[in-house]
Amino acid sequence: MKKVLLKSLSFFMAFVMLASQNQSLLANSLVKSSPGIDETAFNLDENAMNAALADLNELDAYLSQNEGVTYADLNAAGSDLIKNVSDISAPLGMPAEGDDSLMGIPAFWWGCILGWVGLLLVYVLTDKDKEQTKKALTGCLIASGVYIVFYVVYAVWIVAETTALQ
Amino acid sequence: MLKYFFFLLTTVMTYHGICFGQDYFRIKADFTVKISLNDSTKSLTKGIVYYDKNIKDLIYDISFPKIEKWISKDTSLYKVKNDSLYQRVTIPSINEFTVFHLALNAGLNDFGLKNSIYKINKVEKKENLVLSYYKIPEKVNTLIDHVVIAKRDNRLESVIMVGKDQKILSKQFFRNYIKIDAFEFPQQIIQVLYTVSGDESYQVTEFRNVKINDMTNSKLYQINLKKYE
Repeated sequence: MKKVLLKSLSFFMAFVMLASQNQSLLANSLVKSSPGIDETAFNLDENAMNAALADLNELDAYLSQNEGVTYADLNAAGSDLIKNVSDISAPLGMPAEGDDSLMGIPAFWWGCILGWVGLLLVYVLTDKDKEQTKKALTGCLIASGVYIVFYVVYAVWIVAETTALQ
Repeated sequence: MLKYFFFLLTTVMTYHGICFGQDYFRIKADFTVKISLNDSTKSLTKGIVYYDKNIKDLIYDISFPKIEKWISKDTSLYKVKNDSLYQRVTIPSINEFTVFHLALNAGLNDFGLKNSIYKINKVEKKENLVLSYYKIPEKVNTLIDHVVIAKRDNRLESVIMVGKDQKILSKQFFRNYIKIDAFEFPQQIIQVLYTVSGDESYQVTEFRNVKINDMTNSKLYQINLKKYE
């Protein structure tokens, strides 16, 4: 009797273990399976796209007929073709030059507020970026100029006050 | 008899070698990138792109809006104007995931995902399209939940990126394939990006005058960046 009970228990335990493994695998595959996508997702609204790109198509057609023309040339000529078009190069598909900030603070203010320390930080953190470093240098020079002007005015005022007291 | 057999075998093998064994390693093309963002920002970039899969320098010789060169090498993007480096930006290593590298390595039909960490978890057929669903691993911290690749006649047609909330984040359409021997390359890539509010931004990249394995101007495919260091 004991033998039969033990065998039954072993069989039951094995069954429970197999069932739980099966459930676990099934649940896993359900979680990983991505929901199906609607066929309409593969349609492109050509009209909306053409409307959005109308200005650029016109500019592209002009440039194809007038090779070598740059944005600066069109800007100097006051061309309407670049009216709504920025002068940012984006061959990789992202306007990369728009944001010139370092940790959310523009390079100019790094130089302006922290002086040579800010200038050094911009130079190091931007991996020797000349453009950014130049902006930080401009900030640094402007801050230094303001500082010098302030001290000159202050010194003149002190001298004037001292003279007046004598 | 044996002589004829060997002659036939040699002929067949040579033909096979010419037709299927050619290595495509270099590509040059005129490119145009048109971007229209949902905030009305627009940009147009034109020029010539050079890529050699053995050198792995992605070179954009830009003629519009201004004359400059962008060189993507490893994790750096060098921007050169008047033969002087004016900006160096650290970027993710993208060159091996570009359409140029994938096409030259015959890996464009699965968008390079087949040999990536992304795992295919579903394949289904809808009309003439074969859809493959690639799940992004949990450990990868990204907004994307999964990527759906659509192929028609084993040629990549669309790539759709789906977010965690199952909303479409972006769609890419690969069109106007050009065939040069066994090499195939899309002459138009349209990308539609969606904002949270559902607004659309467009990016259309067009290629013309695609040239493969150009051996006449080898120096155009590699820039000596040491002079800018």
